[in-house]
Amino acid sequence: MSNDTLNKALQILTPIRTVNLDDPPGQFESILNGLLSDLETPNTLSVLLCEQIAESVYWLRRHVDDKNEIMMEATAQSVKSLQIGLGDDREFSSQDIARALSGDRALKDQIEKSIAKGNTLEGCRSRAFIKSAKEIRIADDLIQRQMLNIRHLQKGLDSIDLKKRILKRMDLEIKGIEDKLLAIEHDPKKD
Amino acid sequence: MTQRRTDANRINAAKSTGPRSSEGKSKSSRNAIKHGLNQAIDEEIVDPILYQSLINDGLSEDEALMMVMAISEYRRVMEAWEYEYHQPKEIYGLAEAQIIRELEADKGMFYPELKAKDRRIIANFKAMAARKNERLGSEIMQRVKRLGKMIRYQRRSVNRIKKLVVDLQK
Repeated sequence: MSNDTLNKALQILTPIRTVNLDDPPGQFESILNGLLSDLETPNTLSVLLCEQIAESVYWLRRHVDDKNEIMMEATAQSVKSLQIGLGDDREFSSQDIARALSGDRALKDQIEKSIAKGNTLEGCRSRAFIKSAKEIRIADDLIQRQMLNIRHLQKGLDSIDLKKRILKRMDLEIKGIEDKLLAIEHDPKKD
Repeated sequence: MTQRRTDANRINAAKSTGPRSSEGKSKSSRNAIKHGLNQAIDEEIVDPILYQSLINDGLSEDEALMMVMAISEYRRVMEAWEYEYHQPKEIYGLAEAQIIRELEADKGMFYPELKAKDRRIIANFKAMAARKNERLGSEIMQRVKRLGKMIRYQRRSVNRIKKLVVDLQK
């Protein structure tokens, strides 16, 4: 059923395709195919709206990654500033910081040993959060905008034809992103 | 002002009084455009295949035209979004840094020995460039700031699509 729908939707979409993203991993295509296969009776407008929703989901994921990366970069910078004068010239990248914060105990110890006494990685993260608050706020605005885009386009799709499965899929997507965002929010009690 | 200067001004003013051909006027009318995201979509450039598909789906000519224009406006914003997303990092003093590197590497060979004054100038420039680059931020920070300025265009175009689609059902 959904394969037939997908083929039918792709037939409608191919000549009128509007989104051509520079997306080598094919993330956008997989989101789009998932949405199109959930359509019940695809027509030009519903297929177009699915295309725009898929694009918003794609950007939503990218901006969430950007926000995390900003945090990690700023934390790495904060760690670097605490290493000055201690003779430890090993530089920790944002990927190292991400690994340490997501549970790599050995790496975390190594980072904490390299910085001035009385400082922790969590402390560095708090300072980084304060220092890059402006950029994080803009990243939040970008994420929020994509969520609202999805909601608006969903409403449009909903008014053409109620697609319960698509609504549920998008709700889950937004819920997942919200959970992920909450997980990286700054908690002052932890400091 | 001397008479000679006044005469010269008169002659020069007669030489250039702005564009005269319609092509030139059209070009200069776009001089002040920065990104063009506020410009109205031209009805003549809308996608005819998309327009016809919407008509085939039962939309009236007006509805189809409005919808295609709204989609085109949204596409314009999203293309600008993608373009800004992939812009390379802005680095202050990139060309100067390259010259300094060459100068320092070649001193005593092709270039004259650097004097104390030159070294001071170079050191001052390096410090200023480092400060400016720190203020510019990393590639991701720069990207986020650029995209932040475009949020309102995206909001406006998405709202327009939603309103049109919802109005279709009334």
